[in-house]
Amino acid sequence: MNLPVRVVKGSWQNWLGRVVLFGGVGLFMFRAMNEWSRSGLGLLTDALIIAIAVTGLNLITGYTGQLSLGHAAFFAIGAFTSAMLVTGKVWSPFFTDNIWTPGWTMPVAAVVCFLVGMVVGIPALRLKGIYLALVTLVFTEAVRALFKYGEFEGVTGGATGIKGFGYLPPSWTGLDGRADLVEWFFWLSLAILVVVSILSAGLLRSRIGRAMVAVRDNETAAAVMGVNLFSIKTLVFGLSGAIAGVAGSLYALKLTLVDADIPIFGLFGSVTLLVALVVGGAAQNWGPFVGAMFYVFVNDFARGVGEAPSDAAILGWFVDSGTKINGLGGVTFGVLLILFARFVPFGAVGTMRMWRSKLVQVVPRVPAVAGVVAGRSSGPLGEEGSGSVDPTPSSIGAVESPGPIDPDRPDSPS
Amino acid sequence: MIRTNKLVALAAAGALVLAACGSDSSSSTATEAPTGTDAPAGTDAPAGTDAPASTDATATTEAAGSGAEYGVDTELCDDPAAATAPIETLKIGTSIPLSGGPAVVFAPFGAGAQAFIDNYNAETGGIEGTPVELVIKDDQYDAALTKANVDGLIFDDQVTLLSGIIGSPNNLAIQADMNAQCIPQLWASTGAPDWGNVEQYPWTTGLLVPYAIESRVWADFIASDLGAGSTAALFYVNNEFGQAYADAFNQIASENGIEVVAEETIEPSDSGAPSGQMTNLVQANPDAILAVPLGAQCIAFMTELGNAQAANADFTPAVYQTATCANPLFFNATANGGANGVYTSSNVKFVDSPEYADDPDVQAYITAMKTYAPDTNPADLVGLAGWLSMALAVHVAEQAVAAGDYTRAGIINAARNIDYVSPLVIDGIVGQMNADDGYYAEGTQLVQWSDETKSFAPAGDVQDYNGSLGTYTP
Repeated sequence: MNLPVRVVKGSWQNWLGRVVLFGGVGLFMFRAMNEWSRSGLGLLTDALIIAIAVTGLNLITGYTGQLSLGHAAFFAIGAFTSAMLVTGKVWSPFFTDNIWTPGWTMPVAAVVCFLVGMVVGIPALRLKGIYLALVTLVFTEAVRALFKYGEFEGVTGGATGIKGFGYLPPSWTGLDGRADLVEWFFWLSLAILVVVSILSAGLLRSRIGRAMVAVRDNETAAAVMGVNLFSIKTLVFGLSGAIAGVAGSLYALKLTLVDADIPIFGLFGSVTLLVALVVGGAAQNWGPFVGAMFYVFVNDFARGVGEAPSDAAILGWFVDSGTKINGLGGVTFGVLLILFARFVPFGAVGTMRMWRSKLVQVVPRVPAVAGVVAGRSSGPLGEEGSGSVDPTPSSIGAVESPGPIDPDRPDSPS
Repeated sequence: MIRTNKLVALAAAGALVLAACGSDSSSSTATEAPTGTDAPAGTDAPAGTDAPASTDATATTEAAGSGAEYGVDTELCDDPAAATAPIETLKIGTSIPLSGGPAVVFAPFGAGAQAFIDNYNAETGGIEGTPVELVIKDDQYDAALTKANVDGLIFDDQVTLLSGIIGSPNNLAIQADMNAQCIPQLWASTGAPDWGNVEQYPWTTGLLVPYAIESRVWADFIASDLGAGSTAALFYVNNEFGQAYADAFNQIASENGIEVVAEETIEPSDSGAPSGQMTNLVQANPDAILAVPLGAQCIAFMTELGNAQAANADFTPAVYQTATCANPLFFNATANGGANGVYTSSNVKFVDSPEYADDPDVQAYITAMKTYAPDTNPADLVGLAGWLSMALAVHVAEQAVAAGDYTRAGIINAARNIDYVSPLVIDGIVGQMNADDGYYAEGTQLVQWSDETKSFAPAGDVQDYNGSLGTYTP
């Protein structure tokens, strides 16, 4: 059998592959739920929340090609929206009592961030690359300053922030109040990530998704082909912000407080999300999940090395027990990131795809007219790109799916 | 395009509904009401009173204070049995910044904490013959990481209690959890008012002098030293910590007839020189400046002050910095004369001062630090704070043993009824808590730095407002 093996998209082999992938991740989550300690589950939940925000960032930066350093601001707006609503700091029409339950503040956070995102998307019409990054960066700092502004203290808590709220599991979940808080946030975050990922994947298969990729690949050509740049950019900025906002809302409800100085609400947060996106693989369905897992768990590992250098692998050979090296945790994380960028340049998912494509390639179904089954063909298909001018129908499939599958293609199957 | 827009709108709407995750009226919130930073209304304590006796700082007798004895209700715990289970090994956990920006200043806290535990185990063999264990985790001053660390400390490392966690948001983020789980969250290294909430959060106790107390000490000193009608300016870090001081001082200043003529802020993440703020302060030219910088900003502020004074001969305000700046290392690091004459306050001994050259407790501390934390300067009061956070945690555990109730509940009862100060605390300061007094440290001593002697000298008497803050109700 010649490598790579070709699998037709939508065939049972293709579905088997998907079932194995999703089943594997599902099994991982199930085992984590049952066997991990609650601290591990808490970290996993943090990773899921970051993955949600990165899924939002992936839409605008990965698929639409607009570099945003403003997603920490959406994250913060989502967090503050939930905090302000739950604690009754904002005016609610018609009701004297505070009617907001924590769960319902999440869609509100999404709507608010959607609207703000549309507005932020407007500069993206004229600015590109580093200039857009600069504008969104200023946006992040401006939002942070706004939340700290003394005049709004009654609503946002000002420099002090808002504390003393939370989200206990509703009774229908069957979870036992405070005692199951960790499990509750795990399931809640997982469910939202799944929903957001499905919606994001669906969006990318739609006309809008094609338009997004067209804008990323060649804005002028996209406009010529009839893509409305204004609609696409503002809409995707809005959607992207809304998803980040939901993540921020979850973050706040889990942390039980918001404060404009929390690192993830500022530039550090924007960079965190971008790092997770790049590490996981931009414009990859699984990129946000893998990137967020990497970020949270590797950072946790790095801090562990900083806490007890003598217990760490390799390093432990060189330092005495009890030795303290201040700042080692941050340095360790930085070194790991540099190594990652050097050896996994397309992000974890992109690189895994590249490796996989050497073994298995998924090719689109060849139109029935062609009369050729493109299944596990090792015939002419195997020689695609070799300069052959064989005009047989089988090469149509080869043209549609050139070489190793382009990892940037949003419709490339998982 | 219209069609696709509708589709997306539909999808978005679906997402929002799903994102609500079916939460309904049955979901519930933590019931704690949002709170401001206003400190509990302080009763008027006599200024500059001589502190109550208790000068024998090493006394360990738990004489009941004036208030009623506190007893914790373990029935409110998630797991009442765990709160009353006998402790075999005392395992203490803490979470502090070891990497990231704030670690520059705070990392010695961990060294001091570890040195105390190592020294204690070496000298006493531990509690009831079992060495005390300490696990220190790095949270980079990020409340979300503190929460993750604390989960790890409790569920993986199985610590008995937490002590000395640095930062107000960091402690607030875990407060509700710790009180529900009934894990003692002792000696939080912040001065926020929240730690005096005996009724709602009895399992959390604070270590530092509450900001409201320190603000009062300053205001009293300005009123008596410069007289009513004098002017003051505020320079503070724009976060909860700085805001708490600013609010408290503004209130007390108006009571004392002090006019606040300028308020300048600095962002907590700002590591540059506060030149713009200093220009405004020079223009306002107040009689006194109260500075609430954070960490290394203490040095930056004093350096800018030195520059401003060199350039403006008539700019000679009395300058006060918070107790969190009261560190000889910071003052020594200010090379241009800006530190000279600056006031601050402290309730612990400046261990490198010649005054304590013959103090056996101070010398024992220095020896222990040189032995167990050789890379840390013993004069660094951040290290001393770490040491004290562990000393007090171990002390209350010993008290629980003495009371025959060596359990988590026994430990928190001992902490909430404490009457003990470390010998490293300035003579004349008491450390008491009870059912009516939710704050441990309410006494302090104003001191003034001299560049000539490279040390602090006392300015006035020890001021102890023990019990004056009562308890905290949000």
